[in-house]
Amino acid sequence: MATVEFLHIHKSYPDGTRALNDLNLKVAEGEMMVLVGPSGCGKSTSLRLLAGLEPVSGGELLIDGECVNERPPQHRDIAMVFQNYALYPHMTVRRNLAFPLQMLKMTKAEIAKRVEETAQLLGLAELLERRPRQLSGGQRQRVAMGRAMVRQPQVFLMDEPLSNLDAKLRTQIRAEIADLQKRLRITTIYVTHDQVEAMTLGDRIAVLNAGRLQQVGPPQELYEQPANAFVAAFLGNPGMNIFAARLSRNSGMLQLESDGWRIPIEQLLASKPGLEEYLEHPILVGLRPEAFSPEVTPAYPAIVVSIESLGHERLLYFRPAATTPSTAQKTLVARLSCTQAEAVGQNIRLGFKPEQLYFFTGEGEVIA
Amino acid sequence: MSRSAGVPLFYLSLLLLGLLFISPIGFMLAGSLKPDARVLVEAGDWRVFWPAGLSLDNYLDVFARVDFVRYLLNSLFINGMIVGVGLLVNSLAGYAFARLQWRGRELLFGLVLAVMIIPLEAIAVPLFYMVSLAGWRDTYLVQILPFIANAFSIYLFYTYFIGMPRELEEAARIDGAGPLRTFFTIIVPNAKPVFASVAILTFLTQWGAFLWPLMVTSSEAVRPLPLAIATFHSLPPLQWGDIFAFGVMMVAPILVVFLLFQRWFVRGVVATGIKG
Repeated sequence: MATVEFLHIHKSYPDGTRALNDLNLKVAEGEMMVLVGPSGCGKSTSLRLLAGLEPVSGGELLIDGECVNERPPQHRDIAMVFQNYALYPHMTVRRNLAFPLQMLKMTKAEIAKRVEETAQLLGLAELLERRPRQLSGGQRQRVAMGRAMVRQPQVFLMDEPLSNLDAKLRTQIRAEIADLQKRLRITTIYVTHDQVEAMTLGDRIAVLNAGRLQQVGPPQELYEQPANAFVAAFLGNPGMNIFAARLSRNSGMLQLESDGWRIPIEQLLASKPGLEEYLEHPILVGLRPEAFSPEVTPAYPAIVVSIESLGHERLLYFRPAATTPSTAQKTLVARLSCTQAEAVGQNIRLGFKPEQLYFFTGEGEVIA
Repeated sequence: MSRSAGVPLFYLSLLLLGLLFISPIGFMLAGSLKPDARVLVEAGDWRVFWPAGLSLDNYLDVFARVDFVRYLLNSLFINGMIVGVGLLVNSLAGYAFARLQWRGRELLFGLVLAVMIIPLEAIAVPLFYMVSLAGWRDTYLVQILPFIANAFSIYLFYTYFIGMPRELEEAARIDGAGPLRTFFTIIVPNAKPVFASVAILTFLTQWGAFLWPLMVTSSEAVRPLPLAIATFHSLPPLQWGDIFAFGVMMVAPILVVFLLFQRWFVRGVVATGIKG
């Protein structure tokens, strides 16, 4: 077990692309840190830099307090699980697991013992004499995990290890990975673009966008207190509705205007005094899909755009019904129970509690 | 035309094409088995493919006129070395171009590609001077060394390696394998098709080499088969039966090599995206 630290890490490529911009992140001993973000955000790059597969352009990488910038991959005491598993096709499962140990020049007896132990732990004992092409996707994934674990490294790196599996298997293996990590307590950095994986697996989540770290913290904290509109919209399935609005006063009372909705929010001023500064300024407002309900008052007029039924609930896509319909209106989504049946094009009313509103500046930073 | 009528026609045309390609070999085989006097007489009609008066006299004649075994062993040794050492050198070069990062890589690879269009005939004379200065004439070395590094082989290896998943090598690096070990334990075992096709292509081109051995060798002790067949033309009497018998024995090793590796060869041609 070890700590991992990214200190002012920069990475740019010869063509000028900046993959990472001043990344600062500390991963505690035994922690499962999930790096999440859209494709091209720099999450896989961070992992490859830490693995030593690519050199950093600036900053320091620390493993257990020691700078490893100049160390080749094999001397960083890390193991990596690749997205496509990268199992050696010509070797049996047994030889795949033994390969990293052979490189460490372990004795044959030791290697055999470790391979057996790892195979037992991962339920691979029956598959040891098979080759990767004779295995199912889930089994291959497990062998890849095994090859990483067998060395008992200080740090585990996982680069989207579940993305090649079907949805059902993904859920199952996700649980297995979480369980293994809890048992072994090996410091793990897990990269994914899937925010559900991030929420369920991570002790903490680091959200990246365009090479910059947006926010880091426990999943629930990020979900409930996003630092900016990007994090708010990225986490959650579907993510938070973000729409433009304007703060104004009506007979002295603070209200929010957006697409014909006038939402009284005077009572929020006590908890969010910062709002006053943005009076008559364009701001961004966020609402989680689950915040909407037809039963809550005051309710606001809306027009149903489309409906997705998920069995136990529905995702209702709608537009706020303004007095003057404009094409620029943004489609919002509400997560509702299945008790009512709306039709596309129908006029409905949806309410939410003002406390469930999130406020961001025009640039997307949260307003306290 | 309906689809079902087209299929037999298609196969018929393939069959005819196949016969066309195999007919010279049939001509040679039949010619090698009949008395010399009949070879040219029957050359104009169907009997050309018919070994009337079946006998092995021509074969015995070949062994009586030249030291066939000596030439065969020379050819096998020279080609074996060119193919064997060539596979090692060219695959390593292809790997270095495909995967390793080093200064001047693009420039040098461009030069290698450029070399592909220069035929041996164009550089034969300066090359001859070079090997003469080095004192290598009339040796095995002079017939082997210039043909080991081969631009086309390097290019074939390059295209194959560049298509292999990079993660395999990265996994090996993290597991602790250096570049050479990665190459020999991870890359080579997963690149058998390209090794087979390069081996066969090299063998096929070098087996019939004539001009260069003729220029740089003079003694029977080191000369390959194609030079021996020439002696049948230069030494009277000109006996076509003997030449055919020699030809059959010279082609046989190629057929054996091809039949042995044909599965790999076809796969390699498909995998490297080239035509043989």
